[in-house]
Amino acid sequence: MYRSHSPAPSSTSLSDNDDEDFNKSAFFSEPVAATPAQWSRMQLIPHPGSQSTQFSSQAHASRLPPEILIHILKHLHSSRDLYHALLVSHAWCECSVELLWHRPSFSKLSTLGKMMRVLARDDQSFIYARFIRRLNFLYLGADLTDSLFSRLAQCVRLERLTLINCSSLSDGALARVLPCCPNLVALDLTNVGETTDRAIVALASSTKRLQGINLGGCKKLTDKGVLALAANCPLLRRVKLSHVEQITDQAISALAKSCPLLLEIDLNNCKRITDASIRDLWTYSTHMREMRLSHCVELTDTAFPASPRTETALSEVFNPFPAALAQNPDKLPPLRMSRSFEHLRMLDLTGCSQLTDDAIEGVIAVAPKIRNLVLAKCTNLTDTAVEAICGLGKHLHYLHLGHAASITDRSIRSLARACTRLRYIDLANCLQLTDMSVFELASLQKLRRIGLVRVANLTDNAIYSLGERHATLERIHLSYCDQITVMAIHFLLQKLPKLTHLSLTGIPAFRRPELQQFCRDPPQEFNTTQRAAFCVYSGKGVSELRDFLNELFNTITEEIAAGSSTEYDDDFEEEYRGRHQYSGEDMQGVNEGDDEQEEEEEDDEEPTPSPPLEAQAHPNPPGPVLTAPVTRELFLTREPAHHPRSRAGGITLPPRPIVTTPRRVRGFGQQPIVETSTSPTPSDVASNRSAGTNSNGTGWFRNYVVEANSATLRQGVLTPDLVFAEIGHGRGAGPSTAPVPGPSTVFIAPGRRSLDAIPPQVPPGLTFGNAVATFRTSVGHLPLRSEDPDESEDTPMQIVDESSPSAPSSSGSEEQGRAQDTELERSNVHTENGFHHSSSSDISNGWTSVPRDRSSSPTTRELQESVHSVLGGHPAYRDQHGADVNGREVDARGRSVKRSIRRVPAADTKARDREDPLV
Amino acid sequence: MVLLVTSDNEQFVVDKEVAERSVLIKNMLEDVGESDQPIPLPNVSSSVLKKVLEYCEHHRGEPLPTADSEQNQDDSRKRTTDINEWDQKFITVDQEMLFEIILAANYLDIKPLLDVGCKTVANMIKGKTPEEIRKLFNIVNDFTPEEEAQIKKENEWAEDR
Repeated sequence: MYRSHSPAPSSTSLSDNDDEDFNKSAFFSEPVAATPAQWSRMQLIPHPGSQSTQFSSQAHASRLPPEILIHILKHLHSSRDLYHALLVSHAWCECSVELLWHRPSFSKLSTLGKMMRVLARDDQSFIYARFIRRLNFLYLGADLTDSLFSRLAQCVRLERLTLINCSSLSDGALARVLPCCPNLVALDLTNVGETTDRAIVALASSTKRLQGINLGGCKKLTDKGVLALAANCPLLRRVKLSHVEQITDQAISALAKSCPLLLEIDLNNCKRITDASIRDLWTYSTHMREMRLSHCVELTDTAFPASPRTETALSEVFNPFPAALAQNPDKLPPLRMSRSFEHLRMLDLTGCSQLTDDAIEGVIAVAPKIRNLVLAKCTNLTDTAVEAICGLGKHLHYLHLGHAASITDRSIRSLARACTRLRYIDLANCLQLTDMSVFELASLQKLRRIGLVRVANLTDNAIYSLGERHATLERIHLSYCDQITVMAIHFLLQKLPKLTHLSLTGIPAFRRPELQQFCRDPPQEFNTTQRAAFCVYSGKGVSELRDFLNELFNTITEEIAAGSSTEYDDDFEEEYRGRHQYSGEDMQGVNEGDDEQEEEEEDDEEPTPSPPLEAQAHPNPPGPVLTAPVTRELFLTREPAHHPRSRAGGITLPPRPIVTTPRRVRGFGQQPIVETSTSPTPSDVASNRSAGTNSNGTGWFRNYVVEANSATLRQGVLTPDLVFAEIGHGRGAGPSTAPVPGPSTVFIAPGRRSLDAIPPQVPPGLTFGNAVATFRTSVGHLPLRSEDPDESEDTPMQIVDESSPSAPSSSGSEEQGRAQDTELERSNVHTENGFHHSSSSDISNGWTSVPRDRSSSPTTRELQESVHSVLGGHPAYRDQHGADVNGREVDARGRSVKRSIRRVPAADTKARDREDPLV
Repeated sequence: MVLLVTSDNEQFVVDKEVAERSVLIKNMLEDVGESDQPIPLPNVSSSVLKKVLEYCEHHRGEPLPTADSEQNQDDSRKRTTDINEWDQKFITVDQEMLFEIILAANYLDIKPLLDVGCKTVANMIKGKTPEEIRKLFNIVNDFTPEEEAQIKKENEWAEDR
């Protein structure tokens, strides 16, 4: 029989670590197999120890004492290596067999089958079942059947069992097997949906040493099961009940009172939980380290320690037993804490939208060492709460304030100065914040991740400040900060070598195929519109973007120096199609490179569909005005006054049919230089732009109708893309609310190429930024993917706020790619009919999109190109293509402001309704 | 300074700080107190002790693993069989010396050195078939064919993947 020295069950009971551990190669975290295993039968062979005499002249592997051999074998991490060691000799077998079975891992059902058949045999060489201490069935999931699972009843020494997603298990099997493992320390039943009170009651009756249990998603579970745990498992430290929606205060109060060691509780989405039981946690669970109360929507300020302010205001007698009043929840007195919660490190109150500043003040007053504070969607919070948070000082590492729309630069400034060790901050949808906040935050020395999604006031200045001060930044989220320009991002990329993640979804300047080609694939569940807006760079995508922009800018600078301007031809999309097609596969792997999965999940924002709004307000009838291909401005600088004479490509002319000729697909910035003619004056250009765009002084994308002449001239020539750029200025720190006089094309002084020379505030005319602004891109038509009128507003807005850390990250884009084609087709139909669902879709203006044939080979694409070119002269073609671009661009510019305002409520409400699935 | 005497009666005079990399010696010194008494190391030969002292000298001043941190360190150590560059060079010795060092580190209770040695051996084992392992370490296969077949069958799941 196995003669083990019977190592005590590990003292650490990290139920949540199981999953983690499983992926590490770490083999054991507790002493195991310090002695050789005992055979189940007497051996006929001489004991290996006696052999050593044969080799005693040498120090030999076979002479090693077993404990050293075991120590060596512990360093073998793969089962296969251990298996081979096992077959070497008796001595090696004894030393390795328990290591091999300690934590058998398998990713295939057949492997488990083989193992379980061995356990069923009567003539085993060892009693293998007794070696098993840890089992993780995560990779089998629903494949784990009751009959296989039943074998585990023999594993009497099992300490950790992970059954995440083993949804096929019946309640009966669980109730039968679990009590057979009295040594269980940690059990994870996440999403084992059939788990009922019966199984948990049976478990509780035998596993007195249970320290961690995860019942997330066991929706059939009620108070009864949890009460049994509370009654029988006094050592419980970690209890996770996420989405166990039937749980009420009764169960939680019982846990709080009978499990004094409780240090982690997860009540995410336990919507019936009210103030009463949370108060018990504060009262009894003084060791508490992590509290996740996200989406416990009933919670009010009363659930939390009373704010010191109200304490003085109210003159009530101190009541040490507030729980006694639980029957009368409406009259719960302020919770006074006699002890402080020194150990509390993590508090997640996401979506507890009734909370006010008082709750935060109260919490901070008693829990001074909180490290991670998640207050996303606590929409009532104001600067007062943030000022209270400042009290955490250097202890605070992670702060999420997404959707706290009332907070202002003032409190963020205090925050940045008080909490100097912040590593992660998310201020998504804090709409009042401006560049000032970012300036302050940029001084945080340890900042690695900053989330500024939809902080629409931000301008390039904010980006420059981030770039100037941060070598540490790794992840930046700027989606829907729609004033950001390519130039600023270019600067940022040059400055931040550690950047691994950059999200720019919904930023007009980046809605360009040649830039989006480097972004990773949109999540599978995205619709076409979302996919079109999606622009998240991670891993190698970031460096590809960096390289691309770098090269581009160098090229441009050289060309400027050479005294000619660059044009981009309007066949951009075609070109893009080709590239994108390839890049699609290439990018597939990018996600894997992503460092922090945890962040990953909450980080990316969902591309919200397109700018909302008033299709009616901006009708874009396919008229002559819109027929010409439009050039889009690529770079936006803040200098309105700079208007050098416009150059070749930078002109807006009366719309005219454009004749394009087949050209070769070329890369951005690699085009031969072409002389162009007749440039209109800047003011002409200005006048062609849509009204209202400039009135607020915001520099949005400008559209230019490409001059027909120049197009004609370019006929048959290898024409570079025109990078239409213009100077505008942003809101916020920008000088002006004055209307921008007009689009300006700016020349750069030759030779001025160093990016480093760009000051955060781009001075007029002298910067690289301005130089770049000189170049314009004319885009023949926008890629179809950007215009899918239908669905645009169906998109969950909460993408934006990336506030729910638990949201599953999306993946699996191949399918999506296929799906997209279909969607495209559909959307085309809609568009052609002028059909649109939503008034807020700026693409629902009745312009149509060109169906893209994504499957075409490069050759086919060239063909298509030439066809398009030929058609280019045809009005119908123009209507279709030119109008698209034009209409869209105009919208994009004119509506930006409104858009940013309107989105918020929508985002808020929708976000509350759903978990953010997409982050 | 501490005087160490090896199994072959060679004497080594060593800085106390260096000698105390060995928990065995450290404890002895604490028990005995300050004294000029030589410390006998009957299980360690001079050639091996020389090597061991070279290691201790190089790692002098580094924090000793404490009982508390042992668990954690254990974890991180097991997670990787990486060996730092100097140690790697240091441990590049013939097999006999390698095992002698391991035995000495075990006896002297120098955990980091023991780990370096064991990792090195583990790295030698990785990826090898049972027969290759036997050959490498000159081990006799003492299984009967029947036993071997059964052990193989019972554990073959480990080869999946």
